Amino acid sequence: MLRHPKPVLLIFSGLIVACIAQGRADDKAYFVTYDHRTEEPGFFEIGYNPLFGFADKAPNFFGGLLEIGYGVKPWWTTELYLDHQYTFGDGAAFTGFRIENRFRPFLAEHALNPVLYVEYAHLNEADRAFREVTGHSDLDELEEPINELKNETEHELEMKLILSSDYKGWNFAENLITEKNLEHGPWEFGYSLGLSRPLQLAASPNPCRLCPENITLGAELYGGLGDHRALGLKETAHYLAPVVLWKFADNVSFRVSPGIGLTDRSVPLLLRFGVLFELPAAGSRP
Amino acid sequence: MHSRLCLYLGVSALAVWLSSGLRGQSETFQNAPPESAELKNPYKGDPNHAKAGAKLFRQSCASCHGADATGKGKYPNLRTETVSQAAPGALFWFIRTGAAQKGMPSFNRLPEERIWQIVTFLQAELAPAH
Repeated sequence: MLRHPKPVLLIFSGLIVACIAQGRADDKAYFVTYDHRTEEPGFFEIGYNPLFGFADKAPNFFGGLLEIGYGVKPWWTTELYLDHQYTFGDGAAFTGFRIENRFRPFLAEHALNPVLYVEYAHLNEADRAFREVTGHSDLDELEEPINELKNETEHELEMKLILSSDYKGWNFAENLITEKNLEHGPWEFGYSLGLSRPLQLAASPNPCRLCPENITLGAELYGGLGDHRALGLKETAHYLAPVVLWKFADNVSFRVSPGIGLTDRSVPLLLRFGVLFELPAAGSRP
Repeated sequence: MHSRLCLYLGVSALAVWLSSGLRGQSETFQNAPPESAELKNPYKGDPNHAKAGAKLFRQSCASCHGADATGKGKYPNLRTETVSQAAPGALFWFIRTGAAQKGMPSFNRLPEERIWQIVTFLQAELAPAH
C-alpha cells in the first residue's frame, strides 16, 4: 500500500522543479514502442506515466510508472522503473520494479537502426502498467482482489529487438518482444509498432509554446503473439493508440495516448499520460 | 643515370600526390565522410532560418558551448574559422552523428531541417572572435 504518498509527491515535485531549472525535454513520443535513440551520456531522464484503464467487467484501475533513465555511454542506456497501481473500490499497491538496459551496436545513422534491449522485472500480479503486451491475455485477473494478487510475485526476463528508421521527418519503429517468467511458464512473444512525426519539421524563428514545431503526432500498435507452445493471435490482446506529444518548454514535455482495445481479450480503453524531463548529472556539464 | 632520375622524379611525384590526397581527406571537418561535404544547405543565407538556428542553439547546444558559443571548460569555442569555413554538409553530419570520444552527443533526435538551421546559424551569425 502507498501509506506515505506526501513524501513521494514532494520528492517528485522537487525533481520536476530541478528539471525545469536545469534540464531539457525529451522528444520521446511513444509509451510502449522504443525507437533507436539512446539517452545522452551523463543525462538522467525522469518521467512519470499514469495510466487509467477502463474495463467492462472488472473495476477501473490506475497504473503509475516512475522511470529514471541514465545515459551511461553513447551506446548504452540503463533505466529503472517503479510500478504502482490503484484499483477503484479495492485499494492500492506497490507492484514492483524493472531494470532495463538498451544497447545500440552501431552509432551512426543507418536506414534501419537496431537496438538490443534486456530487462529484468520483479513484479507482482497486481501490476497494471501495461508496459508491454505479450503472450495470451486473461482479463479475469483484473477482477481478483489486490491483496491476493500482490502476493504472487514474478521474476521475469524480457528481451526486445528494436528496429527504427527516420525518413523525411517520420520515425518508424518496430519492436519484437520475448518474455520469460524465470521460475515457470513458457516464452511469450509480443510486438509493438510505432510511427510519429513533428507537425512542423523546421523551427520557427521566434520562441513559441503551442506551435506545430513543438507538437509530435503518432500512433502505436501493440499486442501479444502467444507463446512458444501456441504461437499466434488466438486469445491475445491488441491495442491501437494515437499519441500526441507536446514539448511545453525547452525542458518539459507532455504526452497523452488513448489506447483502444482491438480484441475481446483487450482492456477496452487504456488512457495514458506522461511527463518527461532530462536532467544533467552533477558534474557532467559545465 | 637518366632512367634513375626519371624513377626518382616519378616516385617523388607519386608521393607528393598521395600525401596531398591523404591530407585532403584528413582535413574534412571532424573526419566527416567526404561525401557529406557534397550535401547542400537548403537554408544558406536565409536570415529567418539563421534566427531559428539561434533559438535551437540556445535549446540544444548552449549548455556546453556557452550562450555566446565561445566554449565552456573542455567544450570548444565555435566562433572559429574551422567552423565557419567548414563544408556545411560536414558540419551537418557531425552534429547529427556526434563524436562520443570527444564528448559530442548525437543530435539525431532533431529533424534534419532543424540541424540545417543550426548549421546556418553557426556559419552565418558566428564570426570568429578576434
